[in-house]
Amino acid sequence: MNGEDRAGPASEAAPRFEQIPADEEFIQHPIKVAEGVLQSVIVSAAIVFWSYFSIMDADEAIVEKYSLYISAAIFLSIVCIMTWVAYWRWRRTTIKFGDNELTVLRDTVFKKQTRISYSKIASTNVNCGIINRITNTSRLMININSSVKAFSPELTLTFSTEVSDRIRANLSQKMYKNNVIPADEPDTPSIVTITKTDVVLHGLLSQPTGSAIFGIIMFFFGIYQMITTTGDFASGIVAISLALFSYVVPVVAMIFHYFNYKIYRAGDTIYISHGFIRTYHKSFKVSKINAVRIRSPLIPRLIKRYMLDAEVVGLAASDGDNSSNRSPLLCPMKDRGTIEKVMSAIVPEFVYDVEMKNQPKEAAKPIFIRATIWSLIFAVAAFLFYDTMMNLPETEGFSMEYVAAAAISVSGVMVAGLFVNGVMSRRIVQYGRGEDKFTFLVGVVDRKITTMSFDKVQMAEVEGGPLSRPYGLARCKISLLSSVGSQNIRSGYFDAEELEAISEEVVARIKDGRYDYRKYI
Amino acid sequence: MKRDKMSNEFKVDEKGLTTDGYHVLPRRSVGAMYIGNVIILAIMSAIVYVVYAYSSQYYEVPGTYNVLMMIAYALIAAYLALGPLVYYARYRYRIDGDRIDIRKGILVISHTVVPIERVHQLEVARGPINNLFRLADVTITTAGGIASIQYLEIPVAEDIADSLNAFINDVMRKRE
Repeated sequence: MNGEDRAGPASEAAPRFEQIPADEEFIQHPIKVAEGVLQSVIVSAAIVFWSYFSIMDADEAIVEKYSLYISAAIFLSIVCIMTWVAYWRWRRTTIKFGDNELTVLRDTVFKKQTRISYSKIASTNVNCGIINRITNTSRLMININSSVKAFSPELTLTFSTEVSDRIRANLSQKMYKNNVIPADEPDTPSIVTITKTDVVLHGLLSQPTGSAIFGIIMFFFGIYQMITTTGDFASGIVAISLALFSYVVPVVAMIFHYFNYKIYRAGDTIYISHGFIRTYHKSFKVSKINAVRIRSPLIPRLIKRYMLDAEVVGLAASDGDNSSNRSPLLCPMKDRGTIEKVMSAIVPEFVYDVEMKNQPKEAAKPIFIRATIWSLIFAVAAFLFYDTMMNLPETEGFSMEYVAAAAISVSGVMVAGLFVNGVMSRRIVQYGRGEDKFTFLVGVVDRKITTMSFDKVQMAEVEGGPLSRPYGLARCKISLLSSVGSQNIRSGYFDAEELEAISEEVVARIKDGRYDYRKYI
Repeated sequence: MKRDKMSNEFKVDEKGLTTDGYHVLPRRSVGAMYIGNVIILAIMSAIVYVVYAYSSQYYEVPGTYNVLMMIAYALIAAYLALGPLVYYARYRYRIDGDRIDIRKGILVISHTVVPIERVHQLEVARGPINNLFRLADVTITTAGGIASIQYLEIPVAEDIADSLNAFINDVMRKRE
């Protein structure tokens, strides 16, 4: 999997799409009108439904008699007006792709011209929902480099699939200055083979350990409640619902989201496609990656499974994209060897030889004291809860002693867990530094190994508390642009001077020209 | 040797600068901090009083709860009373051609470094308390987060914002 292999299939392929001349004007697919009207119909139906019952309550008999007709008239009027507005906006909105920028002109009562320079585009993604699949259309989403606009695409345009692919291929050419069109080739093989079993395992195991444990406990508690309680299933249903929403629904959503996963790299562009019902096609330049992260929550780590994702700004792939799915997944759950191979093939820029350092011996003291303090605070809170429970009046058929015993058991596990977590973090948390990159390894339970480039650090903060300062130790907070706008990545306790050297290096690279902004445009 | 090394960096010479050339805050910033803390303390006292009065009227609250609540209240009050003096003594900032350094903190001392190249936006803000003391805050926005230099004299805050803005505009012009 060397660089030439990586860039091979897609970049050498003959262009499948015609060039777009600067004066060619595009208009969106008519289904755009239906999309707009459908949303209006749902909203207006809700309003009319509410107003219908309001009219029914009116005192005047005549109003009550004609309430159905009045409501239907209001509904039809709203739908007609919205259809006309949607049609008018669709008909009068044109898109042009110039040499340096794209222009969207809306020539309606509220005139609007949007210009987006190709150099500001972070990614172009294609999203196909059920309506799009039926009508052979797709939604082209254009994201710009902005933390403010990280949650939604700057532009969402609906075209027929063929036009959409042509525009996307042309945009890739204009953005990345390639002589060939690095199209999203359906025949290009994925760098890594992801089977259906891998996707299901990824969905099941990639949830945070806390949600997984909570969901499993709630599920069994709900079942127990429904078996042991006669007649009243309310508490059991509530517990099972909590299990569904905290674990089962995210798992199913994740499986659907990453079904048919495929990733490959063509030149400097990474292409990712996946999705079962709604399909996603994402592409972004490697230079737009701010950090690469290997993640492994506790349960998958027990079976030696890891996943790889990246922090890329401007990658919203749908209007309502789930925030947990924003960071592009570079490889679903696989063994560590495969993850490292994928990392070398897809993002070799973030692979470097590094000697990771554990936290120094002195760090044991602040970690130990901190763990003790948190355990004590939790123990006091647990005692107060127990005390309150025992002082509450007895309810028939419900013994407070059971609740108190359960609270004490859970608290005992939590106090011990907090303490063990603190103590174990001493030998787990690591920091490593190379010439132009550095890595933080954190997480006793859910482990994260984040590799960052010095050139992508926006701000660095070194913090020394009263427990760590006497030993010359501190922790570091790195601020980066991320898929959700901005993100802070924290280190463990290390020598304060060593952590200060991160910001020194960032500034030094800017000063002596090793940081070249043109590399990241 | 490393013992309390970070704290030693906050010692100030007779010129009001640290050995590394950091600037200190104007003395009247302490007054602004105290006014802010008095308001916080007043709100907190009212909440504590309402919670205490309500709970003792309707429930049999065990004495332990009241003792713990009073201990927490006393600790926060002591923090608010002593905090401004420590914050003032430790607050330092420095702006040179490449970076903005801010050192601050009461219990946890932080050292924030913002490369000027990463600055996107600057804002000078004055709340009613700062206005009373003729002070202003400079908010520095980067693509990855926000840093601020607080309790500056208004002309100093405006100078900082102007010079940084000029620098950013210059960088942008060169790039175009």
